[in-house]
Amino acid sequence: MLKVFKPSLFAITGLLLFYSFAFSGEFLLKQFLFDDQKDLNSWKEMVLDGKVDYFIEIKDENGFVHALSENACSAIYHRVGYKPVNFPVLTWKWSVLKFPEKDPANPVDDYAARIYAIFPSISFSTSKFIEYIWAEDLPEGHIQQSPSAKNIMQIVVRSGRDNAGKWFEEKRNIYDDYELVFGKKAKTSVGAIAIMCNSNITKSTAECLVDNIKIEKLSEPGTESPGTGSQEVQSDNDE
Amino acid sequence: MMNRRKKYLINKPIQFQIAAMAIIPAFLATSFLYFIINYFISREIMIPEFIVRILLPTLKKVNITLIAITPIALFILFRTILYNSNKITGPLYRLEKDLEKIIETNDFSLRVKFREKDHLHSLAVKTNKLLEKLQANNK
Repeated sequence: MLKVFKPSLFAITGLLLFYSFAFSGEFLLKQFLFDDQKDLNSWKEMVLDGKVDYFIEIKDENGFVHALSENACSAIYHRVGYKPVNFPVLTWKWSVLKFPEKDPANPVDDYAARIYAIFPSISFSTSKFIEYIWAEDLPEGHIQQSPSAKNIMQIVVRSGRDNAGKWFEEKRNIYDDYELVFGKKAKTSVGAIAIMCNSNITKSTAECLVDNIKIEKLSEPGTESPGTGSQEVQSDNDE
Repeated sequence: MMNRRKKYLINKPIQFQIAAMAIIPAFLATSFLYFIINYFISREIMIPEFIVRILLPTLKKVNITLIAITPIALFILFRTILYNSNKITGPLYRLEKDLEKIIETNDFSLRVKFREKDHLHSLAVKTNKLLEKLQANNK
């Protein structure tokens, strides 16, 4: 009798666990504080054109990712797997210390800091990618297609060189952003979050800091929806 | 026993069916493998610019090579299948023709003849034994 029920019991327990997780009131899905040297171990590095130095820097017990690109292009990503409709808010703090030396007449795809929301699908052409960039040469809010492919959309969330060295916190609703840039609602899951600092095209140096990446629900119960926005933050990390 | 068969296409429907049974699964398995490799490499690289710069040019080369070699591979595969299926459909055709002749002539002294490299030789041997018995009974 027990033998007959064993598989069903496993299935029911699995389903209960799944639903309890899926429909729990958990506000925060994932948070990357980078306060420990080991916090980058779960991030995978991909090198395209020279290795960017990604490392954890800890100042006054507060850690963050420090990326230093010297004529290089590599990225780090962390696999996730969630429906953006359930956890649409992506928050992070960043600071650019050095911008790549671009020719204003010839803007190229080198950015000191960019954060990716990656929506992988069965093939590359059906996958979608949103890049939140800090562009020194484009206005905030500017949306453009990446020179690499039409399914990569770049949103300028911070602009200019004047704020170099200052920390800013960005809060994006990636579900809304997906609809904004691709014209349809996101049905696929977010497969990874990535950080990239590159300066290989300009053959210069770029440097940025990233901290406290959070994936969360739209609003904490009983609070006002934060929506999308950004603000300067007073941080202990300020250089 | 005769050695060589002049025609390779003895029984078109059966031979084409055998060819389809081999080529379609081979094609599906290859496509699936191609897709799976592509999928997992994309998932591994993950960063879109890198996929565009590393994977897509490689895939383009692979695709061109595949386009170039697929007709040749298909032709070789088809010929091989035809040659091998002929070793089965050929003797069956032969058996059918010989039996037809025996039925028409009522001559049980006739024997079924398969070619040396044909499969199903035991079928010919047993049919001939049956014919020998029938011939003995008829005496």
